[in-house]
Amino acid sequence: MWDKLTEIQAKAEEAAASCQDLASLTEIKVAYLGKKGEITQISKMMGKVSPEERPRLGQAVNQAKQKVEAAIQRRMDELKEAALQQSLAEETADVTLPGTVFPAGSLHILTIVRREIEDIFTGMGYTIMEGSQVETDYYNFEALNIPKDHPARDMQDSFYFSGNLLLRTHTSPAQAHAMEQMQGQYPVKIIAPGVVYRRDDDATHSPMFHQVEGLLLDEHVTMGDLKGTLRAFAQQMFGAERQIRLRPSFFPFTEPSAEVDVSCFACGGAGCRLCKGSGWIEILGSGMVHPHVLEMSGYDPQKLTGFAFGMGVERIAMLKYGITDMRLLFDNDVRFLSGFGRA
Amino acid sequence: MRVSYNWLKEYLPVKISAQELAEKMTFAGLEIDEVEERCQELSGVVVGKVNRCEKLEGSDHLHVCAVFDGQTEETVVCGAPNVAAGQTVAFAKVGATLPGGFTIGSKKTMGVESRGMLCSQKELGAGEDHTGIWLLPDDLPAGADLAETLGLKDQVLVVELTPNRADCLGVLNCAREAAALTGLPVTEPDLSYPEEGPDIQTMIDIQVDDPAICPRYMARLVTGVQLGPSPMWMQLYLLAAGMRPINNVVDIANYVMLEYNQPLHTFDYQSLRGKKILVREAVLGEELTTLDGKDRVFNGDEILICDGEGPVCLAGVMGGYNSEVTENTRDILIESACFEPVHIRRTARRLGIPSESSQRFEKGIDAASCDLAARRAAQLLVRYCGGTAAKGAVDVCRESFAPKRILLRRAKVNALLGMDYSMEEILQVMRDLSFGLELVAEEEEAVWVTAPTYRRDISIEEDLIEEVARLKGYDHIPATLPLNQTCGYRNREQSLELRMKELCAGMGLQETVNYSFISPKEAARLRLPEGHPWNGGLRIQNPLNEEQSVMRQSLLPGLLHAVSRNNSRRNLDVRLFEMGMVFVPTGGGKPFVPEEDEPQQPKENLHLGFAISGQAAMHWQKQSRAYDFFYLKGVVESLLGDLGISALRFQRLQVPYLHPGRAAEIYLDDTLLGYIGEVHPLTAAAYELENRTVVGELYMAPLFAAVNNIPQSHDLPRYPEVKRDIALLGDASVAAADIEAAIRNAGGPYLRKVELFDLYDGAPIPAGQRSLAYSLSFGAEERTLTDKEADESFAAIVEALGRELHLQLR
Repeated sequence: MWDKLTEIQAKAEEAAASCQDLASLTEIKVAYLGKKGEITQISKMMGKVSPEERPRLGQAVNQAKQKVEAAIQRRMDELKEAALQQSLAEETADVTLPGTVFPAGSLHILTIVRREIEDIFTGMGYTIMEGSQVETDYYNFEALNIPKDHPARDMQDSFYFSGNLLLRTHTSPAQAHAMEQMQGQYPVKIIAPGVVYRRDDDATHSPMFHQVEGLLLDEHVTMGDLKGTLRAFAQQMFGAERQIRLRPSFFPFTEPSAEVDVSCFACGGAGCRLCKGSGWIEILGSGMVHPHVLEMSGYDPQKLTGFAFGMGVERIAMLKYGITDMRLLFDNDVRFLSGFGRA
Repeated sequence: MRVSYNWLKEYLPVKISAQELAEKMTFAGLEIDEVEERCQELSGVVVGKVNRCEKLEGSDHLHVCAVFDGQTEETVVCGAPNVAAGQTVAFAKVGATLPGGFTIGSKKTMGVESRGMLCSQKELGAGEDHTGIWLLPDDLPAGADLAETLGLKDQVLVVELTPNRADCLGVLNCAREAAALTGLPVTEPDLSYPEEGPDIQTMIDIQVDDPAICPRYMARLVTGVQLGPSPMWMQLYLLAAGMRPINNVVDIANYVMLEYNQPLHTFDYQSLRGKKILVREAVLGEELTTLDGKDRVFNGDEILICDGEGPVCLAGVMGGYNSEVTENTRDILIESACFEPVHIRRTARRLGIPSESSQRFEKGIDAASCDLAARRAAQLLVRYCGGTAAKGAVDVCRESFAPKRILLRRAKVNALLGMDYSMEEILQVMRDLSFGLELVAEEEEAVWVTAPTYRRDISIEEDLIEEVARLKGYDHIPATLPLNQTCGYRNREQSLELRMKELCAGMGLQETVNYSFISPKEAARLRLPEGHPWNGGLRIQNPLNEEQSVMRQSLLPGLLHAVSRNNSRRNLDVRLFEMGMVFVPTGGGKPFVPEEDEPQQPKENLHLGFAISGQAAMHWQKQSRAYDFFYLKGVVESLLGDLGISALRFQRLQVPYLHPGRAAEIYLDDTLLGYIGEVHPLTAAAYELENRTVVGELYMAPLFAAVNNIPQSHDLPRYPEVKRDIALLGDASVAAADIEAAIRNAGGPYLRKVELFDLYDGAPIPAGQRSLAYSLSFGAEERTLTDKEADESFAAIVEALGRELHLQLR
């Protein structure tokens, strides 16, 4: 019996070691360790040995069982590992194939730039106001100190619906609307982005384009504050090293008025093609709110001062993102629209 | 405005270069676009005398000339039609350089050796005239260097004027501006001249009907003038300014206009009938033949200058043929007047004859300069045309032109600019500008300022503050930040708008921007029936073209054109969206009729539009499917789902521009939020779309109103759900939404989710029927649901579907 046990154990270990698949291994396990397995059979013969020998035999059977189990387990691990290796090998992919495609959407570059401008000014405490695009003569002109037949109306040719109704030619009407809404309260601190229209159509003009107007009205607002605000804007928009420069100009609704140049972000001010060698690029118009404008909207120019500015979104987009033809902005070619993912 | 630097120097002893002055002026607000060089390259061109001139044998237009250059006589072949013996000409000798670096050599023409060239104005860069050679005054000595003798070398400051500085349309006022910037004194022209004729009051009677149209009318009279060329220096200044010299009388009028920014008119005094001048408004239908020979018929809002019998001049715009100064004119009446700008502008616009004169009146001139300009013109007519000036002037002037006094306070200057200028600095700027000063009191730090009348732009204290700021230099203003603390933010609608755009982009759509104005032809492309509200869009009175003449009431046309444009460039995978305004006419409650109603401000509604066309590019991983109704429906559902709006109802929509079987309106309860659908094949054809295209619009106002501001968290289910699948067979016309509603109705309190996971209508399903398979989830909040409970719910659902919708289990 002892010999037989030894023999069975050896046979079982041999069978497990040489087994080539998991199913056979399970069979082997059953054949030796199952209810009717050979080792189990031996333990069933326990009654036939002397009581003295029983513990020894029991121990030996258990040992054999453990050995065989271990052998089977070991082989099972080996086979599983081999199977895993094989399946991994079979699943090897050509990692150079293209990945799953997610359709690439995009925001329009004008939306992106408008969002940038809004983020900068909301960060400086401005709220955002929008006004109607079909505007009355009063808000588009009169309330901005541009009376009928004022020569400044020459500067902008407008689309009219009637003598009194037109497509707004700038976002400046927002100034008067904002002041009226505030009914004499201050500070008034808004930006007004939006669509505007002028009768112009060529490579550098579109009959429809976008502006952002800004207005700050409060006690003790100075032209220095205008300069500081616009410098902060320019530095966030075009880079922290940018400087700005104010040049005297004329707008009917500001006095004093200034055109604002930013130091060229392509060459850093040394002079290049973008800045036409001057080192500076004109980006917006601005000034201190004209006292007539304040009075017309119910504010006392002796008590309050303010500044206003207006910038073209297209111009900033074109400068910043190297767009050379304005017509691309309204052409909506999907190849152009796809170009500003990182913006 | 083109300002000759030589001319400017007549009033101002500037020593700096034109470029330096240009830079100073630009940074003080008078933008100089360009400093143009005139005749700077010219060398080797001398005054020549044409001693003999003969036709060149064998040529129909060439002449052989013997030209004396002061030392020798050269043979020159000349093709100019006006060449003749005895002329004094500009002679470019062999080796001379003309503008553009062009060098003169000797060359043989038809056997004749030509040594040099006789030049036109244009060839010298002195003017635009190229009709013949430039004929020079005979008193110039032969051989003299032409550029030096005439003073040809000059620079022109090309000034880009803002409307407030129309005064700088006069060279003298430009000099005054330059004086303020350089601290140099201006020397004004000496206006003295002898008045040896009779008293002008006895020679002409002048009346102005209405001072509102003509605040000032002055006249002076010079008799016995001799017409001829004007002096060369004057011609050169006119040429530099871009005007063509004509004759001494016309040139003097133009010269004085350019000098004083005061347009003049010269009449042939003898042609004035009744020796009367009346300034009045035209009568409707009145006529005048103007200088250009055209017959003008008047509206009634023109200003006319009339003599004793009728119109002789269209005031401020163009003279009349009947009073024109001609070769035979001897006596000149000089008009120096001030006309009301709006009349002049309307007239010049309507008749399409803008002129140097009208553009000055339009922008407003200084009435005080009428007198100076009239004197100057009379002086020059006496000096250069041999005339005799009548005594005195007629001055019809019912207004006083006294300049306004403005209080300028140091505190206000510094408060507005954020500076700390001393009173003395402020006063110095005012003095540099030649503004009159009257100190209020030393300790008050304020001054009464009187700006000269030519500075019509100065009317309030802020105008003076700008003068201080710009002359001291904007560069001195420090960059500070406002002290006020405010919260900046996007409001709810603005945030939602931006979020929706970002979501659309996240879902693979591309944002477009289309024009707000569309073509009236879109109605036909969209197959709109007569009376459709989209036909009545707000019309622009003066559109750039018909294609951009009507305000859109839908984003569809713009989007469809964008798809079409992409298709024409072989971009076939097109997924577009647009967030834009549409303009719905309002007619005070009643429908808007474009032809009859005065346009009102329209309602501007924000729409989100979609146009999706074609299919995704082919990919090795999966079959590509054409974008269809359900693709866009999925976009809309995801978009609104993100905003917390899920219980949408899609209700079949039949409109002419959409596929009748593949279009739906989108409702939330009873609120219409928009529509989606496949473009009708005929509309698709009208827009030349390559592929099936699905479109839609969402209306932001009701949508934003439906959004809950702050989403609330829900506890996660603690007990597992029981799942059951149900496959149904029934009539294909039973709507999926009705099935889902019936399932939810019958499902009882434990039914949580209903998801359609399969739809099949092929064999062996009978035609007209279809099979739908749903996955149902059941669960209870406080315990694990038993199978029995789930089965009961399931059975109730099956029963209800059979009873209500005749669907059977499959």
